[in-house]
Amino acid sequence: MLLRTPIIGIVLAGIVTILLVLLFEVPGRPFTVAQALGLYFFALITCIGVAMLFDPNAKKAKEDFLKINFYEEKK
Amino acid sequence: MQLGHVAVAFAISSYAPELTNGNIDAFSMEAIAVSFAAHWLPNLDVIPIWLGIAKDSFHCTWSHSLLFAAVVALLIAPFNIWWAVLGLVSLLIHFLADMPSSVGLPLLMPWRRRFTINLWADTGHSGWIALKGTYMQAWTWLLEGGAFLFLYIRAYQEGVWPFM
Repeated sequence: MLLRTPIIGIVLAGIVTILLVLLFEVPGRPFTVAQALGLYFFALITCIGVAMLFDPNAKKAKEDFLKINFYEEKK
Repeated sequence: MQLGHVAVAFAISSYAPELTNGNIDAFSMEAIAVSFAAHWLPNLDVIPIWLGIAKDSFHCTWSHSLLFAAVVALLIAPFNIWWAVLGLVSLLIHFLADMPSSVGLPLLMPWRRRFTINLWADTGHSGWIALKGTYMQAWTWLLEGGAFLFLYIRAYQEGVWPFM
């Protein structure tokens, strides 16, 4: 994984978390700090995936696994 | 999809009232049990492989077909029609969650043509290589993380843990 990949993920997750809070927060039931951190955590997993789309190592991993047939008959 | 199935099964249980005409509550034990059982049922095809009864190629065949989903729903329906509906939706969403894998699913079994969205390379049916290989690829993080994110928002909307 390139160094830029987690950095992009961390920044993007912050933006996504803010957008999700703005979209889904109910006025009478605001997210607590802990709940918002939970939201950020799951956004981070997702956004690392987004960042990995631009990471050549992740692309190579896919290409390498595509060459393997896990279901061929064992001799 | 691997760990993401957990989030997807929970998320399906959150829609139990909509799917069962209000007969099963969102995130109730009943909803969670039915959603999980049905959602994970197709992956039990690895058991005969582990036992040496079936070949590796048995994975993602009959158990991942529309015929299998229909048979399971029809078998459950006489006992509880709403379990059958929830189970059927859980099975169909399992297939949808597995479709991005390069191996594809033979949805129209016994016709063996496989359908795939081909977002990530298949890494086998079980074991450490399968798990590690899955999470070396981008789309698995994106979609499985997205499933957990979706579940988190659903939990907030329904006011269940950790939002009680």
